Amino acid sequence: MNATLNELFEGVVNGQNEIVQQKVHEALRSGVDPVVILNEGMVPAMAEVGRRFEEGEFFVPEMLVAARAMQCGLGLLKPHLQEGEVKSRGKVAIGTVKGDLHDIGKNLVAMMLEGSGFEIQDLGNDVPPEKFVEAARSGANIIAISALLSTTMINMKDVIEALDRADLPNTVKVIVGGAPLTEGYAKSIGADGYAPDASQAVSITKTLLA
Amino acid sequence: MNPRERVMLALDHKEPDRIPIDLGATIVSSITRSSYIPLKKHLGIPLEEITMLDNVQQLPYVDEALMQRFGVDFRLVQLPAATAPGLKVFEEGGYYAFIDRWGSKLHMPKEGGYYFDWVDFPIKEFTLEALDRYNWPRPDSREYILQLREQAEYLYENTDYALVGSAVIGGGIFEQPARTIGMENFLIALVAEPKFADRLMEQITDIYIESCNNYLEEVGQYIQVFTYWDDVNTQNGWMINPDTYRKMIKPKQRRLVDAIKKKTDAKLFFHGCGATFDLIPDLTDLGFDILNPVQVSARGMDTKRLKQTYGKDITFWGGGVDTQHILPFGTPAEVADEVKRRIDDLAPGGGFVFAAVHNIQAQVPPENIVTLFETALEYGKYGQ
Repeated sequence: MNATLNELFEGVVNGQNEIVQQKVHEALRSGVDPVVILNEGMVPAMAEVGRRFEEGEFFVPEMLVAARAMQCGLGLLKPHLQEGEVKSRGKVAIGTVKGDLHDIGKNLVAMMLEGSGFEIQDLGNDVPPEKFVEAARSGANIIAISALLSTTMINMKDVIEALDRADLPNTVKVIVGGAPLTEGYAKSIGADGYAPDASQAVSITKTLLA
Repeated sequence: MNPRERVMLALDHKEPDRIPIDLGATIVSSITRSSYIPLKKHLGIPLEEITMLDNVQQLPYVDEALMQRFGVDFRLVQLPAATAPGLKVFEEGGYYAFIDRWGSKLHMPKEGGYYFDWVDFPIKEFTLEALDRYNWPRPDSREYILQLREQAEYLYENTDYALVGSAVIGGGIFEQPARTIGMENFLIALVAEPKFADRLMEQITDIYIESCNNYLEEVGQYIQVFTYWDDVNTQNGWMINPDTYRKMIKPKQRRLVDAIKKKTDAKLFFHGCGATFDLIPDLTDLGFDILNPVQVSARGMDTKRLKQTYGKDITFWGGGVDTQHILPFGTPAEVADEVKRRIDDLAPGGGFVFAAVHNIQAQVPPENIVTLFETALEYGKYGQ
């Protein structure tokens, strides 16, 4: 990896917006292929952030600033990436379940997935089942549902049932997460995947779309 | 043995006649409105008009008949925390809405909502100038404090209950900034704009000290427990780096605790959700006597291990039943088994107040709640 990309990687991991901006510009100016900048400088940085989070070296704030730096870099890079040049790993439609307004977990998962090369459709908070179905119909490969409360978690089943009833043209997988959830609960409502944190949400999504 | 004696023994790590029981003495050990109403119907206790103690979490003031039915040893002497008296709830699209003391807007979905949550914040720029311009909230007026004093004095002289109160007019020193600028913004500010984050927390601490001083000067002599809340953990451990906690948050908590201790001999109660095992040494160092809610389902929060490791240093107030899985979704028999297991772990030697983990949430079957407290009353007797 060249020195600039190395510094870009470090900049994303440490959440340094200014360094990330500088290094993206520098790399572009020196003629590095934008796809290479993305895939060698930035995507591995988010993977590193996930690793540090899982190892207990990073906490939520460090993850958030890294994700913010990643988004800042992506914003600069996007105009230079040709349509179809970067193959999306898949499209994820994500939202908190009906009745639930707690979105920090959902946002972290979305940022980590985006940083790992997935296309994100953020449906927001308090999302009714029909909206998830609509997103699936319009091409999402993964429906990701989040709940913080034991009282709203039970509404996840409605989404999965609505998706089952919807007779969708494509296959769609459902992943769920949030404080009161367990692997067992996820299975019991027919979800395809469960992850206890944002970093592991990336691994489970990759596995489901492999 | 009367309730106040029972509580004081337990808080001094001695075994009273039975474990003291709490429901509704704090805004973190109560019951939400949507479980409270069916519970009262189930027990045949008349439903009088409900007065809300905490609008955010939808907690009513728990009435006397219910407290007596469950053997509650405490009474609450406190005004709502997040909202000033005279709160107006309005409708906004599919949501109920209100503005809290700090100028932040909260929403609760009309359909399927059980809580209010913060959705819009008064501070939108993360600069010291924005903090200068911000219209900081004021503590409750003296008129209200004198009413609380009258209530506290009456309860102290005419009843035997242990009295519990607080005057923290918002979330904790770590929580309230998130409710004033947004949680993601604050977590980012902690590492990216530390000067701003620090000033924000210092000013919140100043307001809390002023509010607690006003309250304790009048009420401090009557209460046995003073409550403070601050969630710095997640279910898996620290939400933020423990070094950040010790450098940026703990010193402000210390400033508040030291101020409170100057004004009252009440035991200090710390509420922190999630995996708080590794936080306990910091809490005892700060001078807290009590840990709540003892979230038994979080990582490392095994009650046996907690009692063995820290049982001599801190009183566990809560942990009486797992509130995320067993209390709402288990059978009454499963609830009873769980309560007995937690009592076996936490009760020996005192230093335990029985309460569910946090407020009893919506949709909890009344039978489970009755089993919870009846088991605690019966199985919680010492010396049998």
